[in-house]
Amino acid sequence: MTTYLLRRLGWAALVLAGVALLTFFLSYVLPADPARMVAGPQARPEDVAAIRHALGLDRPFLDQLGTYLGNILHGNFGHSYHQNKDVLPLLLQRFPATAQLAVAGLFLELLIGIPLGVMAATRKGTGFDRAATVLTIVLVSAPSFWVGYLILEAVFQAHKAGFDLFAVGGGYKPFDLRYLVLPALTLGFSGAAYYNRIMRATMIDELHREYIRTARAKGLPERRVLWHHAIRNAIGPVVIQIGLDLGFFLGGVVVVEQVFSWPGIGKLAVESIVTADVPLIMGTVLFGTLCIVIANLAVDILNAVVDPRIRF
Amino acid sequence: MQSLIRGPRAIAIVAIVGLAAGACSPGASTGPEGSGSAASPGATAAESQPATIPQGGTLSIAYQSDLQHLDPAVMYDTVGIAAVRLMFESPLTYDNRTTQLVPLLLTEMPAISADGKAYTLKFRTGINFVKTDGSVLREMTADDFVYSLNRVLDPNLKPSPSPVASAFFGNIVGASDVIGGKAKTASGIKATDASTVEVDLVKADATFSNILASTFAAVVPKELATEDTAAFDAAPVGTGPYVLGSYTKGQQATFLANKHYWQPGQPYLDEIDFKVGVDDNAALQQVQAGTLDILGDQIPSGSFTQVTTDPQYADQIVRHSLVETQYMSMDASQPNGGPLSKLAVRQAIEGAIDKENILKIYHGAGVVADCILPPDMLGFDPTCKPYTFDQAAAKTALAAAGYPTGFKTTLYTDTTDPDPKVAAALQQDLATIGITVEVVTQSFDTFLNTIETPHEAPLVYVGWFEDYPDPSDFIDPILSCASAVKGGANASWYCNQAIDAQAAAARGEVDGAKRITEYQAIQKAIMADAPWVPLIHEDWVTLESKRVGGFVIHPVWLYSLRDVYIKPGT
Amino acid sequence: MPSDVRVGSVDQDFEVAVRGSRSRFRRALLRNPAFWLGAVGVVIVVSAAVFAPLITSHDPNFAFRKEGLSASGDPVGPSALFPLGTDELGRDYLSRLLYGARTSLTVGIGANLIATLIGVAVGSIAAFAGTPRLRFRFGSRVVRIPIPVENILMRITDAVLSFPVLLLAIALVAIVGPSLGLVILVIAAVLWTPIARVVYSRALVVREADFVLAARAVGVRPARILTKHVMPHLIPLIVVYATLGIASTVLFEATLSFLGVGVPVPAASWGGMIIEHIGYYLTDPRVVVLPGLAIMVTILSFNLLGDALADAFDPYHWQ
Repeated sequence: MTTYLLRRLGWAALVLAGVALLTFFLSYVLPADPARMVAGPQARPEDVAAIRHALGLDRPFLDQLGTYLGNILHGNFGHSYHQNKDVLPLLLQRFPATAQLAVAGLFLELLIGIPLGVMAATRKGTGFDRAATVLTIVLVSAPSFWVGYLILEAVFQAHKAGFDLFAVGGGYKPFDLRYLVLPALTLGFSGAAYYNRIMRATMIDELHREYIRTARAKGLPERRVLWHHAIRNAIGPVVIQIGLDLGFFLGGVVVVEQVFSWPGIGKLAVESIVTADVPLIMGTVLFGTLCIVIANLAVDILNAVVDPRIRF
Repeated sequence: MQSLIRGPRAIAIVAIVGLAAGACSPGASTGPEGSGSAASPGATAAESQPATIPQGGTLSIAYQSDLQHLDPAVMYDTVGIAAVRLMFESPLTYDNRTTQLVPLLLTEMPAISADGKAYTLKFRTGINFVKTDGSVLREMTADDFVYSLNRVLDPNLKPSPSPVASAFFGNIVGASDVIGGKAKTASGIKATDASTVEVDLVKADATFSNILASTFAAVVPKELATEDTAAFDAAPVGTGPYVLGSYTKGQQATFLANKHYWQPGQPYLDEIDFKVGVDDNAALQQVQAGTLDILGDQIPSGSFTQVTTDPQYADQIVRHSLVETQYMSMDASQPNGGPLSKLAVRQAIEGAIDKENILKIYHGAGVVADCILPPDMLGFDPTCKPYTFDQAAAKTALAAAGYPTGFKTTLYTDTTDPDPKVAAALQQDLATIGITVEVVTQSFDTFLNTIETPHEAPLVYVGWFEDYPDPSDFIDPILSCASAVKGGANASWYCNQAIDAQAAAARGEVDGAKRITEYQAIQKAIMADAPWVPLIHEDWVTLESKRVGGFVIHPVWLYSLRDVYIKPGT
Repeated sequence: MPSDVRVGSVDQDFEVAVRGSRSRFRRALLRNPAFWLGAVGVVIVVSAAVFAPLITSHDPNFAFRKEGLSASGDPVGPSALFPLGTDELGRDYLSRLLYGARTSLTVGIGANLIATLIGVAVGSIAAFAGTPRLRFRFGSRVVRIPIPVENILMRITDAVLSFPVLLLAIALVAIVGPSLGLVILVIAAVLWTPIARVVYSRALVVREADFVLAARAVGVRPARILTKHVMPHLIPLIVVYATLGIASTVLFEATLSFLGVGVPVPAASWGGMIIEHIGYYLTDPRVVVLPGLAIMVTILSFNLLGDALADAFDPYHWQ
């Protein structure tokens, strides 16, 4: 078990290192001048040059790379030129917004997808089954940025008509449902289909097993058979998927954050690329990768612990 | 300064400089000369301020872009101007609604020596620095101003030095030594007593008064404003009517009334909330719904017509013409004998562009531009209209220039709305006379990089704001030989030695009326060389909520919140 | 595997194998309403792209400044001249939607083709290469160096899966500049991983099948086993994932255009059309709704088609 763990950790570290190198190289090659970004469009060339020198941007590539990697190992992720704040505190500050959205979005995906999956499994082959599948496919086919704007439009019209249920135009307030529900719903729609499919497939498998037949023969109510017995064994792949999704989401849900002006990591990432804010680009990409790698690792370990067939 | 009005940093320039009502002639210490315009054409009729201004209330304003700095030595972004001016003050400022320079921290306008090189600044007494917790730090002295100027020159500011050290303050005696790291203080800045400072310039320059009105000349306390700008950003201490209450990056900054402010009767509000990172469509909806007071960006293009024609919002529209020019530059020194290097080709192109259509893209918010300087700028010449729109004639002229079948070229612009649309319109216009244009849009920062690289971009669609209220600022940074270098803002790589000499002479010209005539001649001469097609001068149009009073778009600061109040009973 | 972009197809580990006869497959397919919906949708979208110049006579990039815009410079609604109205520059919207189909399908199918090729290659090679040993002669000694091909390939797959691909795409486009070719390559470079993983796990199972062991015992070389014996068993899986993959690539292209780093302006692109007019979503929703609807119909059709194919291949789950 420990060798397995060490090997997986080793690979994870390698992936992170590779990503860091690649991203640094890309940021270095970006055809925007970070010194010009800091100085602003109207600064004269000599002032821009002074800033470039102060930021160490005129040093050779390997020099800069070395300094950067060295700093990382000390926990210093650099300083964002554009935002004038250290990268790590900035990321940590924006993280709660993304975390709330991630959790809420995931929750809604499960809320829609799981019951639909379970019910579709029991009504397998019927019209309900087909309809549920088509519904979730329709939801997953609608581009989330488009759906987001449709939702915003609906809210605005509702507000004009006097229904002041949600915040107009998006935005963010910590733990405030008025702001959280709509972007979470946008995420929820697009992801429910996955959970529906997985739940349905695993449930169908479970429902064929001996012990279910026994339980039914014993006269247990169908509801108990489904939601107490079958689901406990069928939920495995779903949990894995939840873990992976969480990893992805926590790295920043770019599109939905953009549409709803949600000040999370995803929005920060896009801003950083568009403004060629190199340290911040590095920071957000590394952070996103870290979340995914950790989630993958956690899920793999969970799997290995639970399933004895996985060789160590 | 290059900018796109709707771009993130566009407004910084406007905020820093303004119309030169009178600061153009050295030797004059006060009083407008030339075309001193009190209120610019196209501005909303100014509401008359009520006799007693109602006190109290909380104002909210929302911006798309985030605040970057609150430290006046390095602050150079659009949102920051309004915020910094709430907390910090400079020796001079501009009148509430016009562009006339008036004293703020000084008791009177600076006394300028006969040769124009020595400025004597007499500061008021009894002005206090107030900390973020609302308590008084101590009284401001002349030493603080000396320290503040030297701080802007300091090359060791962390993480990076001021973006205007050389550009704005390089002309002070001893400044170059400080910038170069050879000295800690500039010999040309001295406190002659507790409330008087003398500043000596290397060369006479009337625009120095405008620099004294800029936020970079704000007074900061020497013990708290160290070389760590990030620390001072987090806890800014100044003399202004508001202090920083709280600041969450990417979300909101809150400013609270300074109870110890030196001007009686001010500030009018209890609190001002800056919400940042708010999509402009969202902010517009919030102002319309009454949950937000002021829209920090322009009314978005998609809603422009609907909002400006809706009688419900008629009193809430706030509008002002901007001192800027949007233009298409052509690479006048295109290498290898490229078509744009030929004068005849450029002049043909001048006649091919439908400027009224471009104004339509802006929904009519502005005026067509035919020359270099905008109408509100000193030296503007309404008779400067060298080219007329005639596509048939343009096509013939192009053929006569040696390109009967046209040619291929590329137009660069940035991704900020509506620039790609304007680029598409320009593309279609040029196609009509046979020129095939490929449009390349880049994010603003990449775009700047491209147009600062010599001859990288043959055609560019871009705008220019003034840096300071002087026509030389529309000529020197973007149309002179000195600026046609890598990193410079001369997107057309235009260089005419004769005109350069004329411009240098005009910059130093003492006679105000003569100066205007000289700049008018220079404009006509440059337009004869056709390095640009001037397109439009934009207006800024935004929306306020019903309860806001005293808010106008200021020709220099754009958003100035010091005089805003909340109407009672709302 | 879902990503932030929510790859528009519904992936899972299908147990896709050919069970039963060909006619059973055909019957299952034709009886499934999802197949018909999807197929019709795909035909409509492809026809729109192919026959665009026949359906509309307007140039999608030509701005009708007088007839196509109101006096204040806003788009006009549907009329005889412009069946679906115009956009903010006065261009005919129907034309832009039809030519937008060309962009989306070119990028979608092109990127998906490349992604599928890469994914299938990586997945199947990883499954069958294992850890070959490279033989070296060092003077008189023979050195065998094991190269963990399987491990390396799957770790690379993991690495790409871990990378925030949207950010990579944005950065690449910012560096190289927007171009159709680059967009296709970028999308292919990030979306090949799901199919690689799926092919790999399926190929692993097939690898242990009796007929494969027999072939190996007889001495057939691994490459030949792969192509002649194993591939046929992977075809259904590949077909399903390729179809679903088009949904992902179309969505990815739309998202890139939405973020401003897609196909260069002013080429018609549905995602680009949405972001260009995003300011009008309150005052003239038509300009935002129509391209979104086009994207959705396209993705939906391919999803339904792929789903129906999966069901027909493997009726086990659909009795």
